[in-house]
Amino acid sequence: MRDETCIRILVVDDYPFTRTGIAAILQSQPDMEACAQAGTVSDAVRLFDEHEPDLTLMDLRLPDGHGVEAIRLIRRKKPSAKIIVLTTYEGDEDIHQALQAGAMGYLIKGMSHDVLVKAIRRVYGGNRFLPPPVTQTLSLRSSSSELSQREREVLRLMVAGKTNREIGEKLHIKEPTVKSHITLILMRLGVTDRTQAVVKALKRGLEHL
Amino acid sequence: MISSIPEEEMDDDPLHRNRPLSVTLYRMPYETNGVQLCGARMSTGYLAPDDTVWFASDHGALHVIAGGNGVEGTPTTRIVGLSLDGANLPVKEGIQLPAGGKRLAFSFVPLFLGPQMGIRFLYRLEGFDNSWVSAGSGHTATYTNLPAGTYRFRVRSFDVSHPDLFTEESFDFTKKPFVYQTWWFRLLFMTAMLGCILLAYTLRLRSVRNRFAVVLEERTRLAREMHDTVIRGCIGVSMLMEAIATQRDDAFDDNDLFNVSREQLRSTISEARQAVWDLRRNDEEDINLPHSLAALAEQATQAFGIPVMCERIDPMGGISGSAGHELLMVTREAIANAGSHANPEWIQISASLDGADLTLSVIDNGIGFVQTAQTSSADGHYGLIGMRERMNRIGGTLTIHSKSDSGTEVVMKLRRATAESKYHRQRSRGKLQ
Repeated sequence: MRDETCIRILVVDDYPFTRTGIAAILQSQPDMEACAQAGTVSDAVRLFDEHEPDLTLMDLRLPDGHGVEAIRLIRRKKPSAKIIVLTTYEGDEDIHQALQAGAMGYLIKGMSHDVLVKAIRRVYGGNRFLPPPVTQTLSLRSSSSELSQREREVLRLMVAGKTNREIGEKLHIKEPTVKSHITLILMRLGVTDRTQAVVKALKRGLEHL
Repeated sequence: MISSIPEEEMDDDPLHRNRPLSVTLYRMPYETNGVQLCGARMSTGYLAPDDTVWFASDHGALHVIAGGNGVEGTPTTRIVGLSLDGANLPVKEGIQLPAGGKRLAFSFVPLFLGPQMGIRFLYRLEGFDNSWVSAGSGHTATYTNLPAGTYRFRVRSFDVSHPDLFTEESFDFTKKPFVYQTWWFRLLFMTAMLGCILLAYTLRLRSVRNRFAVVLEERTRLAREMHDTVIRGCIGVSMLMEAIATQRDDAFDDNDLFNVSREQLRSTISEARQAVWDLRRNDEEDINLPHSLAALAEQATQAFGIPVMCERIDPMGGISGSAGHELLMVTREAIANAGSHANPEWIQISASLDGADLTLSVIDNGIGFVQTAQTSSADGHYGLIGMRERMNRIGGTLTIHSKSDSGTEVVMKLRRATAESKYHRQRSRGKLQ
């Protein structure tokens, strides 16, 4: 049965149990096959080159980087690569970034196996697959909340618990400049203080723990 | 006191012939005021060759000139003594009194060659008294607890038979303030106090911030732990169970214990994830309802392949996160019901602010349905019940009008005050003022 109609799938997840489970679910389908498994961004890119799978299931949290980075690298090599994000994250920025990078589907882990199978068939067929919680999170995202590159850097250091002075030293900018960036960040995130900004950034997936 | 003057000299004296007299007092030098000028038995008057008379008095030498500038029948006023808490001080123009003295006394005398019974005094301390004070025939004026400042003490003396003929003497002095009464000390003190308050505030702010930072750090650590151990483990097991389910024929039998476990594990994961991300505080973010409704409509248009239109959406800002979320969920459910069961040609959404109410309605022209208790729950969708519960939770109401073949209208009503976030209300109130 495993001929050219079989969907060959690369499974990327840092947790072996999860990979085994996913692979077993795929194996149970007559038209699907887990051709390779990776636990890091670099393995994912290498194995993609090696196996040229029809579809990639990508976790976002990987030990050596963010899954979105892997998606970008893969799409750069092969712009038509079909990728479904399979993750525990559901922040709007994660979803937005993953879709921007070229993911066609976005699944939150803890779904039933038939949802996974359905998603693979839809995306393999050239369609998008975004379940309601994902589209809803995305629809609540407003464009004014987009942060600039510099603001993202400042936010990252805020999440890391740095003071304004430390942020200024790290980015080689003056402290008042840091302050004005932070004011803008608070405004864009729709919060009133630093702590809320950090919580919001983590929630939305702008930054990760 | 004048001790004596021989009578024959007086009779003979030009002074005695009803001419006005001018009396001049030469004060004693070296602050020897009050010391007896002359021995007791000696003659103390002296008739000078220029027809004037000199006397020794205990306030100094008196020089009496006939036909001088004095006013007839009018005493000449002299301030002769000043004491602070019993200690004598020189009567010196512009004297500076030390801070803190309690009892300040002035004494004054009339210089008058004649009976003094009718002589009266008026005095006034400029800077303290508002009007003249009568001393009667007394010779002193006393002030207690005089505040610091610059003063002028004025005394008038006159004879009661000619109250309009008086002479006056005045004397300026200053009472020094205590250090704590000076302007520069007060300024310094205020500055220091402000500094202390600012410092206390800064320290407090910093400690609150530090506490927040510690709380945040701890929450972050907990979230990471939860995520890396509990949730990841559960997801792994869930994936394996899903894999096992693919190998079983009864994968969709709801009563099978294995399937119950699968379901339970999935909901546990979802709850755990919610718990991890539920770091949010009470003041959650506002929702842009018109924007979200437009997005919902667009999404539904694609999903059901029929036009889902926003008919009338009033601009509304600052709908609270909790109320807005429930409203959106109910709207979505209503659209989904219409789109998947009623087979309509179109669906309309409208949201309006009328007076105190926020009204959101979803109207379709589908086949409608008969509303019975059974349709609400028996078919496994808790749709209508869930929608009602959601509206009840946020203090609103849900009404559904439906007729067979003429469509359905789902109307959500909520008091505007309930829908708008506290933050927004404060802000709009601020704008009005």
